[in-house]
Amino acid sequence: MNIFQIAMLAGACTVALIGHKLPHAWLWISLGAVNAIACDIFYAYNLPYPAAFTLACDALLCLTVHWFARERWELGLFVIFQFSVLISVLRLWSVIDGEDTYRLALELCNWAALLMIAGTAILGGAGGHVLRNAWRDYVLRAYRYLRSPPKTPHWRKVRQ
Amino acid sequence: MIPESVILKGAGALSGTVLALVFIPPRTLAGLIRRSVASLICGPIFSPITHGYLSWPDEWQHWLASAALTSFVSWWLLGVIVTGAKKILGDKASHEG
Repeated sequence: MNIFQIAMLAGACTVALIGHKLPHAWLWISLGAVNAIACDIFYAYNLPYPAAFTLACDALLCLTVHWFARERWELGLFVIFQFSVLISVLRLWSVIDGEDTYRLALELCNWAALLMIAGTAILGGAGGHVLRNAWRDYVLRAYRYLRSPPKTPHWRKVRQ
Repeated sequence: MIPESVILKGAGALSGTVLALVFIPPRTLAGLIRRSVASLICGPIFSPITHGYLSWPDEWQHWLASAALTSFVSWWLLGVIVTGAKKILGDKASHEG
């Protein structure tokens, strides 16, 4: 395993922990990990047409996400995987010329997917209620303060 | 024995259909079936025209790519035609993309 694969694995585990309450998050993280491992094994054994294999795997994942998506953020994930498929198409078409550029673009797509899951989990899922409650308490306190009469009698008339 | 060119065109049409399904997903099951059938038929039939128009060399990869491209375009074109026809005919209740 190289440093990028270790970083991706650590990132996937972290996001899985953050988004453990988010429905389908574990499923998409697991499927994305299986996809990445399969593509890496294909590359490691120097099998022919690795970009075509990556394209097929990404397309399958993309269709799975689209068919089983229930929430809005999952459609965002679908768009990210669409980009991943597009990158493989451009690689097959030799628009993306270098192998390193291609791998980097795929890594960026994977990280974007992980960030989307983590962001959704933080804002709306796992820790979201804490943030929402904090915001609501702040607004309520501010409202009560503005509506309450001042504690110091500075508003009393000076001249009787 | 199935000729090699037919297998190539069929594989290209299938891959073009899957790609189109990924990039332009249909909204209904009927749309999925209609578009799949149309692109799987149009891909092998019109791929020589695409191949000739793009002046690609006579290699198997390019035949595969031309069939895939033709399928993709026919998928998209069928959606445009159906949407346009529904708009013209006044069926605004269901827009099949």
